[in-house]
Amino acid sequence: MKELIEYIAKALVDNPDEVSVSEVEGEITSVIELKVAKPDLGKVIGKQGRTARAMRTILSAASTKLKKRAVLEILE
Amino acid sequence: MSSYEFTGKTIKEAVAKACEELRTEEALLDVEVLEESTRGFLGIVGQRDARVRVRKRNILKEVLEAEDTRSSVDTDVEESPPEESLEEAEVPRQSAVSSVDEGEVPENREVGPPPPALGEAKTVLEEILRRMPVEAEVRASMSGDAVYLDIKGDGSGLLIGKKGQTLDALQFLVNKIINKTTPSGSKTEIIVDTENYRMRKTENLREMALKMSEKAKRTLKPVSFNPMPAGERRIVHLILADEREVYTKSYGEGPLRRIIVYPRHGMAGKRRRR
Repeated sequence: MKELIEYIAKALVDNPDEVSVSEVEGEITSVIELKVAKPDLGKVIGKQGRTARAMRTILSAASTKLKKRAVLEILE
Repeated sequence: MSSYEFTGKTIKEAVAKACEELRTEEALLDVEVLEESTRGFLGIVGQRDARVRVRKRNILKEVLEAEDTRSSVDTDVEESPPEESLEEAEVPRQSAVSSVDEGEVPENREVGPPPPALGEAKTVLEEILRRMPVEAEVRASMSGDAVYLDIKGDGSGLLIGKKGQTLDALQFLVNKIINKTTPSGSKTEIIVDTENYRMRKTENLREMALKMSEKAKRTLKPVSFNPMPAGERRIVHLILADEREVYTKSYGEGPLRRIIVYPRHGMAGKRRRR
């Protein structure tokens, strides 16, 4: 799932090298933390948070498939 | 001939119930939709089941006619191929007529030279799916000016999601990624679809739109839709654009934005409706 977010984020931003994703795994829920370069923050969040929402939707579909839960956190 | 009414969460469900109850097949029934189902607001207020009225067709007569000509059956078969599931077969039946641009998406492949975005979009979608991980094949084709990506395989509703959420999210992201560098104006529209969901959706919207406009004409009062996302509103606006007796407008903000259908000669207060 980490790879999923990493791929999407890298494709969205201008500075793919500065994208870093870490996964904090819990028993049921894992938290996926996404860090991007400051100027790219808007790109991964999107207008009214639309891009972030879309990523979360896909993430939850993916985690359903794996029978887990995952939350996406975007770190500043 | 007697007719029966059935209700269900969706029209499909109601029809399925009818088939079971009457021990017959959908093809042998005339279906008339009395009421669409609505989800209501927040699933609490205004939830309503779909109602259909079905009538058994005079099979004997039809068979005899078919024996004579074969033609009536042939056309029927074209419209709803028997090997398809009940759900899919039902869609064209209820709203056969003309199709909107969005509706004709699936089968017209390769019209004009494919732009570079085609391959690119296909790769992006495949990469995303591979990491989900969903095993599916993506078929890319052109549909008018838009790139049409059809996801084959998997089969579960996973990729569609609740009310098409997941599919819309995929489509949104692929669009974003592909059009990241292109200046606005020359953006390529990318449609992501699976199991013909987009077309089914359009057909459902068309049915609903026509029903709402009928209601507006009949009651001469504005009729309000449930809130829907922009793309769906657009389809409804387009469908009702050729209706002379009604016009459509959207009101509300963000996720609560909804379409209201006004009769042209209605005396109901247009102002108050805001």
